[in-house]
Amino acid sequence: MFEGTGWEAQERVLKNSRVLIDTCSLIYIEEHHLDKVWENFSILHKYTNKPIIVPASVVNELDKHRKKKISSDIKDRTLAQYAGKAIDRLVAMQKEDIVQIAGDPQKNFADAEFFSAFYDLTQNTNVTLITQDNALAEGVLGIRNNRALKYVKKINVRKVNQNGRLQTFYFDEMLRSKNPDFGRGKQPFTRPEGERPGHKFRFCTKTTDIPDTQLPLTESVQKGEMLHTDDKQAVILGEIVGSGGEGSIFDIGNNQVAKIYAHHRLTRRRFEKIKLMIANPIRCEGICWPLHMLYNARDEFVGYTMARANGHVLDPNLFNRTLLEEKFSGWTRRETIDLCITILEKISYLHQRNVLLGDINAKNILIVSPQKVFFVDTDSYQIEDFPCPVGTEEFKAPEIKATQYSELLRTFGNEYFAIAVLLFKIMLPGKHPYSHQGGGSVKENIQKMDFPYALKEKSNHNAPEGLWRYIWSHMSYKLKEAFYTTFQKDEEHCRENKRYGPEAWIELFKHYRNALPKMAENDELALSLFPDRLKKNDGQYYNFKNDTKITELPDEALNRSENKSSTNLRDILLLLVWLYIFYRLIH
Amino acid sequence: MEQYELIKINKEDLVNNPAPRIPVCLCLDTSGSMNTIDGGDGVVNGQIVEIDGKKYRASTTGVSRIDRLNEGIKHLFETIRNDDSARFSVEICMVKFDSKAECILPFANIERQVEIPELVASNDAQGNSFMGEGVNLALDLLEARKQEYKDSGVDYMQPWLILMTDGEANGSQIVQQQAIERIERMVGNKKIVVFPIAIGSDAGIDTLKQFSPERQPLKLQDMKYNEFFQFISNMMIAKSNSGDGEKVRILLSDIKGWAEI
Repeated sequence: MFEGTGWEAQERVLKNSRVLIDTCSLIYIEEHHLDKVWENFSILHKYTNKPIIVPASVVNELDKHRKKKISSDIKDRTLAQYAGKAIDRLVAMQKEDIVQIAGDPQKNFADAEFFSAFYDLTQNTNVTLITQDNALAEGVLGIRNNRALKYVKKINVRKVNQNGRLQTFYFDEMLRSKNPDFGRGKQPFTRPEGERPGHKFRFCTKTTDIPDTQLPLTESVQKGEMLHTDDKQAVILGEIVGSGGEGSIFDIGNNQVAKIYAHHRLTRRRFEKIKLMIANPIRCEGICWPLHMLYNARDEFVGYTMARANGHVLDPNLFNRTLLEEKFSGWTRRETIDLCITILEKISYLHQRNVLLGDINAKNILIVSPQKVFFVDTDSYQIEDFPCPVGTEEFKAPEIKATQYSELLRTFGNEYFAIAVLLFKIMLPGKHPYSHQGGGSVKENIQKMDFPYALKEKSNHNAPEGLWRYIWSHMSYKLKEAFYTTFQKDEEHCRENKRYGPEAWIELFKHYRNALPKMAENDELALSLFPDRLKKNDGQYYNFKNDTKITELPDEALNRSENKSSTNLRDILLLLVWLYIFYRLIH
Repeated sequence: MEQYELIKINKEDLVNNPAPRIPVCLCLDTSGSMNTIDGGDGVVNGQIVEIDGKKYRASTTGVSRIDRLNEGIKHLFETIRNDDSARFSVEICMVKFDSKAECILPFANIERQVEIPELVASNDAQGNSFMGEGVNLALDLLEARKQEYKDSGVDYMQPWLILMTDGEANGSQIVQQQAIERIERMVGNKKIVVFPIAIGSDAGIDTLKQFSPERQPLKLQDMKYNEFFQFISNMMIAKSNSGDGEKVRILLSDIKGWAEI
């Protein structure tokens, strides 16, 4: 149908799609007197009977330009002239049905409405967008390559050149030909920058004075809405993948999601904090650090993008036997040890950069495998003088008196307590270290620091009922010692400045992992996550016969065998000292 | 199942589940007035008709309050069972009161409570409503459960009492006073969270207020039982996910859908 018009090459594309035209192209056509473009649109209409779509917002925008015809600026006046011509043209074309003006003309924010019209269209039909605007073209091509939006039909973008022909954008060509990943998931709108080598955040002890005052938000953000990043990359919100008190998480394709805050969570302080985080990226696989700030069409801050996490949330899936056996079937002690190491390595990575997680909490960790986890809700981390504004009672160190998390800057020592609780709850799946017979609320129990599990002869004999004592008894002595001395009042590592940090725990867990095969030789239940009896001992305290289940055994009896060698050594040394004293006495 | 076996299973459920528990008692009015058709006029005549071994309440039209309450409770149990955190945290027992107070569902792991007892409104001509006795029994059960948690080293959050009535309390004055004092003490020490809910226009709001010194009684809109129980289960789910011991915050937007404000 386009023989001899110069549009021959576009015939197939245009015939099979709806055509949408943008403000800048309409002005460009008038500016360069490209009447032949309209002649070709008439031809297209004659063949397909489908009008060219002009979003109402485009007409509005033209109208705004037209009104500037008495402006003092010559550029405005020229633009007003072209805009006026374009409007006249559209009115005439609309009468002939060649143009269809779509959308709500009352809406005055052009971009949002344009995008939403565009997005709606792409649900049902192939679309060809005609624009001169590189950023818009790039954004729209982003949709095309957005995996999340599978229902998106074919999208083409063309611009009018000075001869009135339609041509593709150079970067479209470039990306198609040079980047093998283009169109297969990777898209132009994500260019996360690398970490700055050696960068550390400041470690602060005084809370920021940036207030938590609410930022303006004109309209709540919806699925399907097009947002943009700082560098004007378009991001379309796909399906909601989760929501909570803070806001919602939307899929945006390319293995990324957008966190969109509820309005009351959009505050000046949060905005500044996210900005700081994005300016100083952390690039550690599995830590879902903010990548880009997100703004709506009115340039209001609404959220940020981050890598998409997957896996099962640690709490409750690992903290409950029924769920654990369903979600992590086949896991043994070995897997939970590896999991602890994986989690600790990530925490250590953050600590090395002076980032505290603040609200260490098993609902913020997702497990894919013992070697692969995701840390989410990183926007709550304590960074420089921005506190972590949330907290969880059962991970709150006994020395923390503050009740307002939003004004509390935690110390590394506070964080180490939370780490110890988390590790304990992974090892005794779901059980809090201070739950004990005759206990009170979690808070009261933590304050008391009366750890109910036994270490050698040390025991308060109030371990909770059930199989928890058995699990404890099978753990490596070194790990038990670390837990005991951290959680029991007046023990070596119980104070804020004496607790084990992630690196020390990693060493302990690696030691445990190495010892595990030997321990399993001694007692096959060493590998079990839920042993149903105490650990077998070497016969010094009781004889283990066949499958006799021994459930009553004084707590002091535990662990003697594991430490027998060290006990003997101590005894020998003591004996030598006595001998020496004796020797001195008689000489 | 043997009684002994049952006790053993309940004990294992109790001690081997590490999740902090929220014990909840539904304390429900089953006096004759609960036979009132909800959302309209007319009272069923109170006769119970037995057809094919099943009991039906005689009525010309409509669904009674007690029917809607039964439906709402089923909805509550279903919602809790479908949430992976709440199903291991929330534990529910049920007390009904008319001319006597009775526990019709004892505490247990919610997965074991397969059959939820159907409430039947009393056929008692006097329409007795022994609320004081009901509340006393509810508090006893909650305290006993708490003691079990303590004894076996299970973490828990403060218990919830959901008290629903459509009339005035008319049991023993002494018992009622005793129950009110107990509640006052417990609420004062933050040892219980009370949700007092009034059904219909005859509910004794002032009595309900006495049972809840801190939280104002809320009046259920006609026919909004499911909405109310949805709200309650949302609160429970939020609570079992928060790990935060004490506070129970209610937003106006949460109760708009079912309460008369």
